[in-house]
Amino acid sequence: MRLKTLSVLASAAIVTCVVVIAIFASVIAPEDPNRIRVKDRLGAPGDGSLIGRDYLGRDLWSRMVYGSRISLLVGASAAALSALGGTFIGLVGGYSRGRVGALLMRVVDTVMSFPATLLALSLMAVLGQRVSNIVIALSVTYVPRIARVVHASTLQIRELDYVASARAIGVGVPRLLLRHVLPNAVGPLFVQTSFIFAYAVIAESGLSFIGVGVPAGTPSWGSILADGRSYLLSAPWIMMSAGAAIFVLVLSLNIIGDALRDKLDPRLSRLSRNR
Amino acid sequence: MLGYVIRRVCGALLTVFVVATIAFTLMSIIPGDAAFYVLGKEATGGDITRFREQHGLNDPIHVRLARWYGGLLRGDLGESITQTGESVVGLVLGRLEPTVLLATFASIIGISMGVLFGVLAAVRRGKLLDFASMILALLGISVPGFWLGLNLILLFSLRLGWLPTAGYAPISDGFLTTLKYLVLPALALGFSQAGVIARMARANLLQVLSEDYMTTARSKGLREWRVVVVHGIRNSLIPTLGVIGISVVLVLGGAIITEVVFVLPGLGSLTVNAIMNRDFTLMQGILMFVAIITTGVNLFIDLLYGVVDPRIRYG
Repeated sequence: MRLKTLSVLASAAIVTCVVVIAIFASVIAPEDPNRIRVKDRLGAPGDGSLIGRDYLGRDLWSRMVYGSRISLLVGASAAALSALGGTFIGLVGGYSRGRVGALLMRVVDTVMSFPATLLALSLMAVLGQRVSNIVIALSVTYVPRIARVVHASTLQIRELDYVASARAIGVGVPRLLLRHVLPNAVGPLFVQTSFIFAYAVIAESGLSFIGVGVPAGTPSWGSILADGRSYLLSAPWIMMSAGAAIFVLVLSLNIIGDALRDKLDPRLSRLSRNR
Repeated sequence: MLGYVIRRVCGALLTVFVVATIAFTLMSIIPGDAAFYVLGKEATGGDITRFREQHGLNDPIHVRLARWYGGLLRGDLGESITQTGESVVGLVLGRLEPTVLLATFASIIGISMGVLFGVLAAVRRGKLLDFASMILALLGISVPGFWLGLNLILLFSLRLGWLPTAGYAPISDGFLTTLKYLVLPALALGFSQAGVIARMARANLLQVLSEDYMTTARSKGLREWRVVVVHGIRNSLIPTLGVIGISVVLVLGGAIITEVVFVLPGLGSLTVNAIMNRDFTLMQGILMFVAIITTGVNLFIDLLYGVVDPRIRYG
């Protein structure tokens, strides 16, 4: 089996594992993730807990298990919502080439010129610290990326003969976009959405790391990492476990995204066939 | 060329105008009363009224918007609502040095490593070097910069003691002293840039290498290095120029969290403080400031495209 296929399979297995852990968190976690045991604070891995304890003596493995829910929930929801919003804007912007299309794409370009972290931070400042608000903030931040991809595909597809034929036989615009244009733009859309899943996992942990993501006390990989920051030497396992979890999940998502791109993006797969 | 320049400059001005409107709207739709957020639960009705009058919050929204536009034209981004008497521009400028230096060093690392690995990967396509470069790039885009930063602190500062763990020394203390404080943050930030840029540079060069004129160059009997360097890299650098624009946006975004990790007193930590203190005017000003920088850089690159590639100028 080729190394590439192996890495894609391993990545899919890792993502599936994280999904299973997140779904069955209450069964898998040995302790309540917020149970404080001060006498065991900063306990080392293996010393009565699988991967150690944090500065309040909370079981790190239990917190990691519950934290996976936040990462997956935020990542998947932000990817789905931005795919939905971006597809709508991209289709309308690409199909109606008049003022509406130009204005929509101008707003998209403007939002894209903001650094994503800054935009997400500003939105969190306005909306307040809640998990649902992280999803909204990240979706707004990533909508333009999807919109650009769908817009580019729509511009190409709308000029094809079969679209002209559909128009000529009187197919209405909504049906034309959904039944004739969208199915052919799904490849790049799917690829971009998979990458946004990965970006959103990093972005959520970044926001929680600096204290503007999940509410205080909620176990999230980013907030666990922030907890470990003050104990780099005395309890490096806190920082290592949370960071490694984010890294491995994001790496797996990116590998799957790359495989999807090679499969679904005709231009790039042509280039790799030339090898 | 003049028409192209005018079109681009007008486009950039329009972008700044749209950003100004978005930034204002964003900070005006905060649920509840900004005065209440800033003054807290113990504020009396009198305090709130005074605060609202002092900051013009009682005026209708169109009056405030007009005042915001007017201020922008004069280069005035208003006053901070939590640090009374401090102008937003003053606060931003006071924090600019560490961020600009961090962004510059991180971009140098990101662009040079990214272009180098991207080009090597494309030239040696399908070989071990391509594989190794792309694995490195994949690691770059997947590793969270803040976690990489903590690992660098653990290794180089806490274990080996080579570099300071956190903080900043201004450039007036000497370039080398400043550099010591910026090496690790720039590496943490630059590595993920390098990942993004390497993948783009590789894709761009592969595209160019598959063009017909490359075959022509080879069939003329040119040496392979000349074909790649003179015909390939040169042409692939045109789309890679756009990478610099993207890099600036990425670096400015990444700098926010990196500054928190390394306790750098820059624009990023000012942003986080503004959010923690719910200083909405400062937040609005920072958004505007960063947008002007990124729009300016993108405009510059657009104009550069026009100079480098005549098809764009006349297209």
